[in-house]
Amino acid sequence: MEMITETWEWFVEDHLYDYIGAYMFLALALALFTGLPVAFALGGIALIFALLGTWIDSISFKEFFNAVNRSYGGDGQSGAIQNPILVAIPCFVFMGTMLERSNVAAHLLHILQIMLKRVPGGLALSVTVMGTIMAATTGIIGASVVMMTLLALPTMLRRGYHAPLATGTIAASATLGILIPPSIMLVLMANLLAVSVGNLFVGAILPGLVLSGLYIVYISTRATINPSLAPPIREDEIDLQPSSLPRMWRFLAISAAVVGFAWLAETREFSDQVNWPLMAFLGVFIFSMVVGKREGETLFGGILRGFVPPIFLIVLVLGSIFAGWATPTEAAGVGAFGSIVLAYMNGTLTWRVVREVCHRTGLTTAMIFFIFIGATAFSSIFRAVYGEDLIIEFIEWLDLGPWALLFLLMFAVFLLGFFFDFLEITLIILPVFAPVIRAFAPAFAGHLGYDVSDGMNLAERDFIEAQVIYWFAILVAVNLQTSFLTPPFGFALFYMKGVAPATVKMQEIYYGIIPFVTLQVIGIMIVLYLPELALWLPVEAGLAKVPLSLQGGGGG
Amino acid sequence: MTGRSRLSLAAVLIVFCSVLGAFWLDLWRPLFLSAGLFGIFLGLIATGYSRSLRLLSDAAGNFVIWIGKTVSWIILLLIAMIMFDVVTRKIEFIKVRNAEITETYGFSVSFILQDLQWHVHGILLLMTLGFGYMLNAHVRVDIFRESASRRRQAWIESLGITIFAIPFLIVMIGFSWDFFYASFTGWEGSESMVGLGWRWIIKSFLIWGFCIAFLAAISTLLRCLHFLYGDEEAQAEAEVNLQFFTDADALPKLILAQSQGDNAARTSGGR
Repeated sequence: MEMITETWEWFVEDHLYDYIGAYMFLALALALFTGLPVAFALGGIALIFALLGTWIDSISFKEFFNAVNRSYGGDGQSGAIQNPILVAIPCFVFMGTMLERSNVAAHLLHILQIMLKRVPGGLALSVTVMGTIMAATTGIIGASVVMMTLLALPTMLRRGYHAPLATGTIAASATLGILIPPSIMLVLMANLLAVSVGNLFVGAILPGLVLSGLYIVYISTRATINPSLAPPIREDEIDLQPSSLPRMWRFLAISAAVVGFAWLAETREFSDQVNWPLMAFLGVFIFSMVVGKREGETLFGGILRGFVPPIFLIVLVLGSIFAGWATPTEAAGVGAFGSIVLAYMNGTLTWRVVREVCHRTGLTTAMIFFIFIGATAFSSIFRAVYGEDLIIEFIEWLDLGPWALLFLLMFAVFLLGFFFDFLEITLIILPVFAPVIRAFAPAFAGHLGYDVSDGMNLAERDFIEAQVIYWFAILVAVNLQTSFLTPPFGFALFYMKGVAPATVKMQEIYYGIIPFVTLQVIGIMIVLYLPELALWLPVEAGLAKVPLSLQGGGGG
Repeated sequence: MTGRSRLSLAAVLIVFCSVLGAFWLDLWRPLFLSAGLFGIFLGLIATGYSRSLRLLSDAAGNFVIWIGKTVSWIILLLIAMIMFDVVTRKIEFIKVRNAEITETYGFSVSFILQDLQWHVHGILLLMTLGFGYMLNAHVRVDIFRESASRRRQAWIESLGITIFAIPFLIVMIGFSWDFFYASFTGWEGSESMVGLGWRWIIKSFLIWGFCIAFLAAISTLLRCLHFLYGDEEAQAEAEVNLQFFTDADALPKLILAQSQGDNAARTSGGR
């Protein structure tokens, strides 16, 4: 009897007091696997452990007030509500949903197929291109995989595509959306890591393009070697007339003239009140719309109506961030407005579509931010019971070098990606990992191409830390994308199976994804080996200010 | 009928224990409160006095969905404000007039618009929390739940709501009230001095938002219990209205039901 009492006292007063953070994490894992909404599991575990911590006198229950305060945004710029950055999220969600619901996405896919009809594996390539352009904004991986599958898979199978190639292409292209901006995950990451969204967006462009480039090379190689895997579009499926060349030339000449005039106006400074490049951009856009309407059912008209508008929209959103004309929030708002305009010009802007898009935007926003609030509650309490210190102690006890540590963190993220969507991983895990990487940042300075062997001042240290964080964030993004695709878990694949025609077997989906996972691993290696890929463009665009003392040999 | 009476006995026990616990271990009150609620609901349903509870769950559920659908439209206002702000800041004579306004009246149009943007965003996200739950838009980890029967899924859900969701939301509502109250009595204004004041308004939406999510949780809990232990009619109705069954259809997260009627057709077809 006495022994039991003693053990109990030891358990409560010593063991639980020291390791409550570890138990909290364990309890969270169990709660998540029950299949309850993640937000409830996070919040409930936070509350139970706040009570437990109060009970063993580890914390004061008042700590839970932080869950409200930090969800609102009490400390500076990291909350959900008083936070101008996160306003971008509902706007991007609206934009993506609108493009999907108003059939702009479907038209884009159709016109891409026709444009790429002579290229081997044209349809698969169109899916990749569309994923690069479009899938970015649907909110969660599950939703974008389902959208792309419904849009493309039936067509591909009807045309006699090899099923594994088709499913692999779709799954890989749809998950590419979390990496290629505008991406909701990057907005959340930037917010949590306290770095600039614009910088992270611009940094993610090149790695994303490298990945989609790898896909394109792989698909066209396979389709060239064995054309029966990816038969081309049949002539009778093309519903557009061939277009007259002179009209095309006239259009191109006038557009070139507009751009030329704007360039002249910009360099000669006709008037500094007008943003000439933007004016030229909008001018060409409107002109192409008008010509597209008048051109009718020809190939050229189809391109002007189906292909040009979405490209313009994405370029407008990214370009205005890149050029520093707009904050990401403003760009998102303009993008959302642009999507309404595109839907109108597509002739699909009905009241019903608007209502549905608004409701779905509301649902997706609620989904994202309920997890945000739950995760805030969880991490407030986790921090209060010294859970983060526990993890840092554990990492110190492991006594790893910076590279081994980086690989360990990446591996952990990869494993978590088997089970969880990026929301949970970004919101729960990144705040824990970021301080660790920040502490090890100077060790990576040499790898990023900056010589800091003679010590660093404060500005240099800040800069190096920020650069390492950007690099790390993009590595995590690529890593997560891989993890979502990796059998036997890879939940992107399960979503795909859920909506694919019954003839497609799970084995085919598994078999089809293997080459793409290999390409992903190559992509991760490239970003690991060449951090410049992620860091060069922001520096070049002037978004990341390199301290003068580092400018000599740095930047690669 | 012995099953019924055993169930009622269990419900009475649960209520008794939670009342006892709420007095004895007053720290854990939120959990006991929610357990007591669970016990009362279970008891009423097991003894067959559940007509009013059915009305309550439907009313609460429909109200939450109605609020969510109505508030969703606010996104258009948000887009319009961002567009207005972006466009007018680039036009010279409006810039001049705005500067005059700031000088004369002491507030800045652009700052107010930017403050309003995150206000609207905050209202959107808070007022739709419950809406998302009613239509099962929230993320779940479905690996193990998928293979469970509908009854077991309803069991997991009702226990989860009782242990996690309701206590969490109760405590969040309580602290949100403190948060709002401090802002209201202190008459908190804008940080930038020229922006939007009256911070208590947006902070009060924290309370509203969590209350609506609470209503959604109560409504779902009642439906789960009806599905598990109600009479036949109540069971059938609850089964149609519950949205979270994994076998209901392949795309629970994507299909936005237009109305309750639509739902009924869809779900009963999927069984």
